[in-house]
Amino acid sequence: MTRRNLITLAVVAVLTALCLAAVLVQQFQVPVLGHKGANTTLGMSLGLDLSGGTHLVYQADLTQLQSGQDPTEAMQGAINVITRRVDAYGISEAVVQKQGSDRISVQLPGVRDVDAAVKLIGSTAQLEFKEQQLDGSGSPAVDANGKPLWVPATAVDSTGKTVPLTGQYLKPNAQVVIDQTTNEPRVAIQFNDEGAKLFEQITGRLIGKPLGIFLDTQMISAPTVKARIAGGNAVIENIKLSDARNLVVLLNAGALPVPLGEPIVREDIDPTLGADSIRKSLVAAVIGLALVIVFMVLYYRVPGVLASCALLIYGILMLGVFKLVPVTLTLAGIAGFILSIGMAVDANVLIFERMKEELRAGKTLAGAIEVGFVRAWPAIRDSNITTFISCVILYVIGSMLAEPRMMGFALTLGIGVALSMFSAITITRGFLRLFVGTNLETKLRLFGVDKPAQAPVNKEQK
Amino acid sequence: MLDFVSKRNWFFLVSGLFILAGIIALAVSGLNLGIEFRSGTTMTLIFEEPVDQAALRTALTDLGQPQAQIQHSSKDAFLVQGVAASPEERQKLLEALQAKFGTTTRIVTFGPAGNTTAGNTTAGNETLAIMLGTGVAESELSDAIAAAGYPGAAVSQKTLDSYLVRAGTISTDRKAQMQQALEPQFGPMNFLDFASISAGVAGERVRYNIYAMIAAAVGVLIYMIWAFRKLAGSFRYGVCAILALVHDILIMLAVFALFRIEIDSMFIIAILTVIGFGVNNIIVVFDRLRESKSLEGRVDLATRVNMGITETISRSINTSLTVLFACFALYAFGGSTIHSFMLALIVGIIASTYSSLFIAGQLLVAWDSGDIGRLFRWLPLRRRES
Repeated sequence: MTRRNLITLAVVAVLTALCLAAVLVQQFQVPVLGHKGANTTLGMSLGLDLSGGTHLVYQADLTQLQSGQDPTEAMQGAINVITRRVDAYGISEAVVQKQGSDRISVQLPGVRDVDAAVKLIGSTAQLEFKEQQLDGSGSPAVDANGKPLWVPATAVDSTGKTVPLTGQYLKPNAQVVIDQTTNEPRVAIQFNDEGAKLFEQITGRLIGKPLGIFLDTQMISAPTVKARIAGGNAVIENIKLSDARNLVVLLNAGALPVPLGEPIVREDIDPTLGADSIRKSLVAAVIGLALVIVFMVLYYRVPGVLASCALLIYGILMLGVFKLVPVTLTLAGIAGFILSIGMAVDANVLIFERMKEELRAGKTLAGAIEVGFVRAWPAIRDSNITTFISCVILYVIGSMLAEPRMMGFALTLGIGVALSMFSAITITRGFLRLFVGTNLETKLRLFGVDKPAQAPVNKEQK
Repeated sequence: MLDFVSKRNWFFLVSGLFILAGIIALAVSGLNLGIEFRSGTTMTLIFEEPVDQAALRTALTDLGQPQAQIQHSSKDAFLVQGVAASPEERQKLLEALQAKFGTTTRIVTFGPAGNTTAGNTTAGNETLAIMLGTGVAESELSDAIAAAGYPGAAVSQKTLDSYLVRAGTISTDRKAQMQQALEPQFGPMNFLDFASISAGVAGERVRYNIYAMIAAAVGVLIYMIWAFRKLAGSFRYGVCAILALVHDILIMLAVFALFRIEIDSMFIIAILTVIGFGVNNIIVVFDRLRESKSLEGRVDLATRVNMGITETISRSINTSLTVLFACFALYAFGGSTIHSFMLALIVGIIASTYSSLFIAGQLLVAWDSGDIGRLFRWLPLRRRES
């Protein structure tokens, strides 16, 4: 028994050391997510409510899909496009996820110009080339307001079909160039082989006429074609530098396969507030833990000390698991963590109360430990299992709703419940068994029992 | 052995009165729902020049937001000119200042026209408003800005007007238009924060959160019926546990309704936490009843409930105290963002400790001894029917 106990404790020690190493070592290696210059918080990955940033949710309009297009593929395509856009825009660590069947959640940590990012993510970015519609006499047609009417510029592709020239024929290597003579920005674009042939036909047909370049039905520019252009290289002129940069991002990331429009949810979380609340919450957590330990030691004496050790080990294991899984830490997750500490303490308290009852009834320490654990077990098991059931339900509903707070809470609490049972059952019991056979065994006052008295009311049930 | 059961109607009365007060508050003024559960936009506007609240209200009405609620607050800031025009440069300055003055440092840009898009570098024309924690002297900030590479910067201290505005949903385009419309009248301005939730999502969140709680309750109920299956009327244990949990949630809602504290999505997390905690407490008491099953038939349920509560009361109070310690510490030192969350937890944990000691087991006894039937017979409505 003693040998097995020592092995158990050795395994616990190794696990704890591993988790402690994971927590501490990476502190020096992993840069904190999102905002630089703030607290690193042990290199944990932090949720938006702690790191600051913007949370956007877009609703895809799946009714706008072309017939035969698979909605799941279109959504995945949209996610890929958005990921490329935010990457190209320079937002590192953005998280783009599908929510439900038709929503996309975008988390942008520490982004600077949110409005620009919102526009960039939500624009469909369909680039179109158009020519002016001609009326019966061959001169450009105009609408009621005197504005020229534009129709898609088409050409014949390699399969013999007449198709419009759009951004889908572009190579993803558009770039901003500054004109050497005028110092004006331009966007250099390059068509793929098919696009180059289309472009050559169209420019050949439109010599002396304007070729309209449209992004999402907005005209960017309409240069007059000077000559037939072969080889597929073109430039877009008459564009502001900031617009040129965004256009390049959009063109290289490709068009969204499904329109998104305005975000249905937009929340800016002040990064400084977040960083501040982590620092304060950490201080508060340490104070809280210290209070718990003082209370446990004063009230339960030796077992209180052991439970405090078990609690510290539990805390280290939790942080280790958080980091290794990794679990993104959010305020809601911290709440789950606190509750799980409460439950870990509770499991210990339950066991100690039972042990006390047994010691008062005149049992030996060894007997009291074993019977105390056996008696406390059903209550610990049932309360942890009900909590665990709730966690699973909340996690599932949280992921359906794509509510990261609920998921974070359920995940941390679920892990916490599992670890707290391990902590109470294995670690505390292992520690307690160490005392069996030592001379401490006879000093019952150290276990919070003044003297063995008559057994309480329920003695007849033993 | 202490007697918790015979005075049960008093315990029910205390809780009932509390919940009644909450229901009255709820009926009179409703819950103060945060943006997550209301559709619309919440934003904080900050102005370089003093702005009159009435004038801002009129302007917002003209912009199509007649329902907007406006709340004024003053923000101490330092206005700085001649530094860091591009967003990248501003970010560098912010990091330098945060390293020196702490992470609560913020920088907001004022005009021209709030247009800070990369490329339109209008160096030197913007004013930065730097907000620090308390107790930083102007000269200290001046030195820090000089050290960050802007020795020529002009720094002056000023108290700025800021307004928290709750309005209908405002799109990104409308936001830009709003700024363009407000700046000619009120001078340079910017947004400290901006949150927008569409109507469909807000309603959906409320719905799903309620589903989540119902699903969790059903899960708990089913497991408890199974766990107590060997006891007579095992169904009652689960139902009484759920009723006690509903009691805890109602008390939390009552406190938040009475004091008009804003309910945000973290409140839901607090409720879920309290459910987890409450189930734990109730199971510990009920576990003793399961253990004293052998006495079933010989000793009445009321005595067994009394025994169970007496045996577990020190554990219940100790566990609650340890969790409350952690919560009070987080409440006192954890920063303003988690205040209302911790308050919800504290209220909920006290309520659930009370209900596990004074409500859950007592409900079981009340059910067992036919109190409910008596209550119905006593009700005037029922009397007329029969």
